[in-house]
Amino acid sequence: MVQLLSSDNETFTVDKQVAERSILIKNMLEDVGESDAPIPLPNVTAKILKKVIDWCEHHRSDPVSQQEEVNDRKRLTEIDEWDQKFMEVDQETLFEIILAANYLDIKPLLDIGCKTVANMIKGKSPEEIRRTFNIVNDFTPEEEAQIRKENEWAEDR
Amino acid sequence: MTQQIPLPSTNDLEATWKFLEDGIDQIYNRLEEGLTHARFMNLYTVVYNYCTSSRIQTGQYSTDLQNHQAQRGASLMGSDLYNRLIKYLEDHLAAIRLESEQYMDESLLHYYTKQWKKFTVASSYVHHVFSYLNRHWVKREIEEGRKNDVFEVYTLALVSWKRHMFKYVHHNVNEAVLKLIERQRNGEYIETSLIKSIVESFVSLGLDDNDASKLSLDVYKNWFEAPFVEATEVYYKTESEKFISENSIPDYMKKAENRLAEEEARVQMYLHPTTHQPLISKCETVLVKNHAEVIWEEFQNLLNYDKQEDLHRMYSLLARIPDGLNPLRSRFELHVKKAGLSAIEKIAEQEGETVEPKTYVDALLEVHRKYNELVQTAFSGEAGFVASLDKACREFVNRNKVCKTSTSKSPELLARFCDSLLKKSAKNPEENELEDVLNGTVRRLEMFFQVANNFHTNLDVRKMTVFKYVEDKDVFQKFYSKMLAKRLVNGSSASDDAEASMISKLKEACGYEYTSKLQRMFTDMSLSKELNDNFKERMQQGHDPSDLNDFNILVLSAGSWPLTAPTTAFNIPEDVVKTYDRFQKFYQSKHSGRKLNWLFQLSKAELKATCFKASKTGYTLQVSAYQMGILLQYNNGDTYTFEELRDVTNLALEAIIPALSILVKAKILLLSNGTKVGESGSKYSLNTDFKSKKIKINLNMQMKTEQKVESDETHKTIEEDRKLLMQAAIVRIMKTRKAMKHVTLMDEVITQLQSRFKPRIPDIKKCIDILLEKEYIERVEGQKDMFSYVA
Amino acid sequence: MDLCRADDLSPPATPPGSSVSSSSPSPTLLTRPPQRLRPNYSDPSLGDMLIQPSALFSACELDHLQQVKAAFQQMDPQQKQYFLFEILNCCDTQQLNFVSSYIAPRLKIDFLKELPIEISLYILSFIDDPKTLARASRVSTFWNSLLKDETTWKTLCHKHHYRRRNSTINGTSLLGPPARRLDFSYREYFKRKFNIEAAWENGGKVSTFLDSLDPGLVTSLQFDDDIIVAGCDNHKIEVFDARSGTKLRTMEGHEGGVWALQFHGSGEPGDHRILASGGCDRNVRVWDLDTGRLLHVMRGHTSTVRCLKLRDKNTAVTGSRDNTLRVWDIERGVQKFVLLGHQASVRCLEIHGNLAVSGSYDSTARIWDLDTGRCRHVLSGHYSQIYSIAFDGDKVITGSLDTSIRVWSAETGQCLATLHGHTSLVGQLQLNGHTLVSGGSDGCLRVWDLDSLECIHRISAHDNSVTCLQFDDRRIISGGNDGRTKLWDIKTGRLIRHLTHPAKTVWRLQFNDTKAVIVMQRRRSTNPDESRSAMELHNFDLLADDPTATVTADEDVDMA
Repeated sequence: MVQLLSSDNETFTVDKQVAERSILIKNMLEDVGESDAPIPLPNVTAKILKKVIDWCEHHRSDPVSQQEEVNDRKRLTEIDEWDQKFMEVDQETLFEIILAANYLDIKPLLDIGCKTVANMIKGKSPEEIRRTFNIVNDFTPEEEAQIRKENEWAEDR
Repeated sequence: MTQQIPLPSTNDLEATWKFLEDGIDQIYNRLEEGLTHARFMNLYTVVYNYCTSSRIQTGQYSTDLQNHQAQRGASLMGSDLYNRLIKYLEDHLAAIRLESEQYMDESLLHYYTKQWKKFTVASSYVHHVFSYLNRHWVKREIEEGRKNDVFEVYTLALVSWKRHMFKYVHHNVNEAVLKLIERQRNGEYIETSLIKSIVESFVSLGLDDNDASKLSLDVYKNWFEAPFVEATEVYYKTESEKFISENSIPDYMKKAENRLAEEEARVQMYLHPTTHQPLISKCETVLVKNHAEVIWEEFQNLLNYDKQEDLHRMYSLLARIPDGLNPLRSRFELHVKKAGLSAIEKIAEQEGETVEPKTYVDALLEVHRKYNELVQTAFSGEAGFVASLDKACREFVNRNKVCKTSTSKSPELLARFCDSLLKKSAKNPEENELEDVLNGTVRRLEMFFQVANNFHTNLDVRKMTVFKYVEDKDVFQKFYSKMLAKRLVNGSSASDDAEASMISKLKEACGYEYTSKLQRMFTDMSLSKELNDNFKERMQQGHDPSDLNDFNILVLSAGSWPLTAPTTAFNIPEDVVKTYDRFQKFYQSKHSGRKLNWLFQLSKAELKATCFKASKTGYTLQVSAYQMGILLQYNNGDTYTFEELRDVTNLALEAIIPALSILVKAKILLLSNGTKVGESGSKYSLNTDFKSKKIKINLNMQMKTEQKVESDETHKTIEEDRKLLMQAAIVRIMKTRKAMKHVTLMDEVITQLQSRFKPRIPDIKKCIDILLEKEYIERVEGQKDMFSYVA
Repeated sequence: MDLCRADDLSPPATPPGSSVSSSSPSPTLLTRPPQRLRPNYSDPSLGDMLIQPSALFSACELDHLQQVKAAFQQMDPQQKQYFLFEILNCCDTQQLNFVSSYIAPRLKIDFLKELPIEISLYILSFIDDPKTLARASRVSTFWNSLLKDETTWKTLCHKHHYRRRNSTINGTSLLGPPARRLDFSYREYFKRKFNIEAAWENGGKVSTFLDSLDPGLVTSLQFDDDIIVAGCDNHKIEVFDARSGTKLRTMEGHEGGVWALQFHGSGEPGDHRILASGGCDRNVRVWDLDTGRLLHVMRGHTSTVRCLKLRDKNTAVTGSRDNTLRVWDIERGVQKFVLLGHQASVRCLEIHGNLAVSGSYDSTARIWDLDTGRCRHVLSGHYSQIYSIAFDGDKVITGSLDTSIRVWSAETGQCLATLHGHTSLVGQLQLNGHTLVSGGSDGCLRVWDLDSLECIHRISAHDNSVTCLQFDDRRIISGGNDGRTKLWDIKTGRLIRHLTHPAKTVWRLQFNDTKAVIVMQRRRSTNPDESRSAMELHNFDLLADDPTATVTADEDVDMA
């Protein structure tokens, strides 16, 4: 068992196997060795850490992916059902899960998070994207016209 | 709760680096103090925070198309940390190097391995601490390929070690390693783990300049292996030259064998496996190849004294170098040939002209057995030696003192040997013993034919001229079938099973065609048995008192049997002629149109003689048909002149004289009015005083002279057969090819016939001449040496 | 005065670690910039009009409000939550609607901007639709900058296989694999490639030239970046500018119809284009294509030259109705070998390395060694005349009047397979790797996989004979006696579109990555019994500068 300490000082006790879904924790345990002292994760709050641990529990025995190549585009949009449910959260939480997965080096979780965001962008017009993410259009009208023209090539004709 | 140390602010490089440097320094220099989870996580987090502070300059939207470079995209944070890490490693390693200067030899090795170990362990920690940098900044730098010298942190550490440490010390380190190895070769105990770690270090530093993810062995090969192999050469050159001048060759071979084993073990123990090849091959050159001549010279000695162990050692050593075995093989071949020839010579001297087939064959096989065993044990059954053995055997089997010049003598003797084994022996061996003898025969034959087989499978057809062995096969067949025929006709075969297994061995060795006639002979035998049974039944139906008891006849197909019609006429005696006629009729009724040739010269009979005073019950005389013809006359009278007997039997001289001679010699008949059987006017009277201990007397035997004549005849028929075979082959070839050059025709004939015998060129020429004469072929006009087929 | 300053609610800008010990616990320790609440109040019911607080409250009330706000800020999170609960319970539907619409956008996050750049780029790598990416760059200045990152476009090029080029005809060097040029941009490269693909799908710029060729019959066609060459039955060879379509020259000399031609060379200095041609007059002519000068007239054949191929700049091979093939040294203008063996007219030939293969009306094909002039193998098996042949050095493919296609080993001369399916003469073949495309007089195209020897697609392409075809790794173009030119997707076998207006018959076509040239016979609109020639020049590289091209799509230019 391994103890994880969130940034807001909450301790979680999890199986080593579960904790080692995080390559960061796995490497550290290999180097420093195990001890009773909790592992501080200064960049993850209890709320997100709990979520991440849930994910790791569910995926505890997934095969560790072998450096799959970027070109393997099967991973493009496919998110399995459980993960899709898991990602049905408010944007704030999604945002922080992505950050935490990146920080803890849990590539499959990072992929799911990034895919979820990518799917939110796909097929949308610029205005729809702005609305989705509450983005202010900060172009001048001249700039906007110019950029529209520059990017016309990809539109259907 | 652990007290948290405040972490530096995310984008403050100085503060970040200071924090990291402290940690890195602890990892590299004071790892033994221990690293807490918290410390590790803090270091990682600081790197993370710094690297994730990258921002895109979202300045003015640029329409400047010239400014491609600026549009290339984001630049990630990381290069500053990376460069500081480079600098840190450089300083750290400079200090280590400086300290190393006070060490030499073994102490240097201790220092180097200690530092190397410490450094690599620490670097793997640092690699993990900087893993966020690896994952993003380094990855992107490598993918974009802008600079070739960006590596993942662990690789960077190794590159740094190579640049700032290894480059300066490898020479001394390597020298120390070589000294250590030399001491071990001299028999001292050394700490091999030291060398093992040095080797590992050299291997790890083999970083491919173009692609850091690939490991190359360049560093190890260049800076360690090459000088090491060179030192090895020098060491063993000196040692071997000294040793060989002071010791015997067998002792030297032991030494070399041990040294080679030691070096193999060295590779296993502490070198990189790829060193095996260059190291061992160098040792083989120095220890074996350079002394090959003197080792070869020793070979004959070892053979003469049958030093199997040393021979095997010599074989294993020389097998290591290219062409090392060739001289041994040819010397071995010569040796075996000599051994074979001298064994035969000994027999020839002891037995003179008439060599017992058994003695002869046993002598041959003994030589083969002995050296075959040597090949299997000392030379590990190596194919080259097997070939040499075969070559030598074939040579002395076909051409030796007994054979003189005729290559067909050997197969004849072999065939006779087989006959002697397969024939019912007068000594009447016990059943088991017989089986043993037969098994022995078959085994010997197997060995004999194995040699022949090997010849076919292993050797190029073109090399036939060297080995005359195959010539023997048709000769053997001829003699064998003759003797088999005799065994069958005379019912003198010891065992049907032995005969059958013999045939199947021959078939295996030489193919179906070779034995088809022999097999037909067995078929005829069983058909005859049926025929006799039928005939007996018939005779019982219409019994005639004048019928012979136990009439038995063999009807044999002329084509399959090597038997010839009698050269003499013969008047069938009155007492027999009725049965003769009756069978003749019986047979014609069964197979009309077939002609029966009576081979009286092979027929035999048993006569019950009650005319001798010495026995009341009378004697049973086992006689030939001709003898029967003579003796039956004495039912009518007591004395006949030679001419009378001749006229009444109608036998030719060469038939009647031997038949009479035996009767006279056995004292059944008494010769008077002359000194020699067959003299004109000589008289022969029945000797009623004949006496014998036995009741059954065998008078049906062959004279020695007859045997000789028969052998010569057989040889002559072989020559005739070969001529026919050659002519048939020529016609066959010309028929398909229409026109052909002389030389190619010759070649073709030889290829076609070599499975039976090796045709001699003059013989083929003769055959061509015969065919030209018979107008099967003709010369093509205007073209030299060109023949065409005449349809 | 502000109702509430953004800074007040955002987490302190202190680093994550230190915040644990600080008194104010903050839920998000990760740096989120303060773009969350708008500084000014506006009322949606009043059309988002900006309203000053002083217009709503008296000074005293404002003061009180400040105190409440200050008190709120002093509370711990649970207290705050309870306070809000109380306040919200006091609200009516309208006010709750206001709260809801006010809050909703503020719970959204501009992910790409807020996440570390490396992660933002990683998100983009999950999008392989260029349209989405192009649109994304129009969202904001930040997104625009982010989408200029080359990694995204490089990945996209890989995903779209824009490196692989398999066309047997050389394309423009501009579209070769990305050079390591300093100013090379994957984004621009992708854009260019993508547009060329789109133009193939939807139609590029088409220029049509009427009556510039023999109205009776054009027998042969070849083009490169600069020129188009066509051989005609009217004894002429016409040369056009490949960009503008204007006629550069007419080369006359043949005394009969030109049946076969091929040129070699790039036209660069020192690499003149050399053209060899042959036809009814039995002679083989060699021309300097760049000057129009006749270099050699080579005599030898005793009947029409039916097919011609260049091995290199020095060697030409011709096949003739006189049953022979001949190998020529076109540099010196002399015959090198006569290849004897065929018992009837030689219809087609192909060269690879030092081997030539020929198909004949004697229903055999032969493999010849061009270095020795010897016949290596006779390929017999077809029951009838051979009309087409393809050869890649390893396999020889023959198409015959017996409706079958045979695959032969060039090494052994053995027939490896017979492909059945066409119901009439197989007159067109092209081979590339393990893909074979055949066209027959039954109007069908068939795509074969030579590894499995299976027919992958059977396409009913034309109402009449297929007269010409070409394919690369993406598409097939076929022309037929029915006057149609069709573009097919080679992967699916589906029709993409008609390439030309219907004509009387399509004679010849050729394409490369960015261009296609089709020559055909049309009916004269004024008199349908009268024929005229038409040459269509299709350009799919619309982004390339092409100042000379003034003709727009689908506009006929009458040269007569």
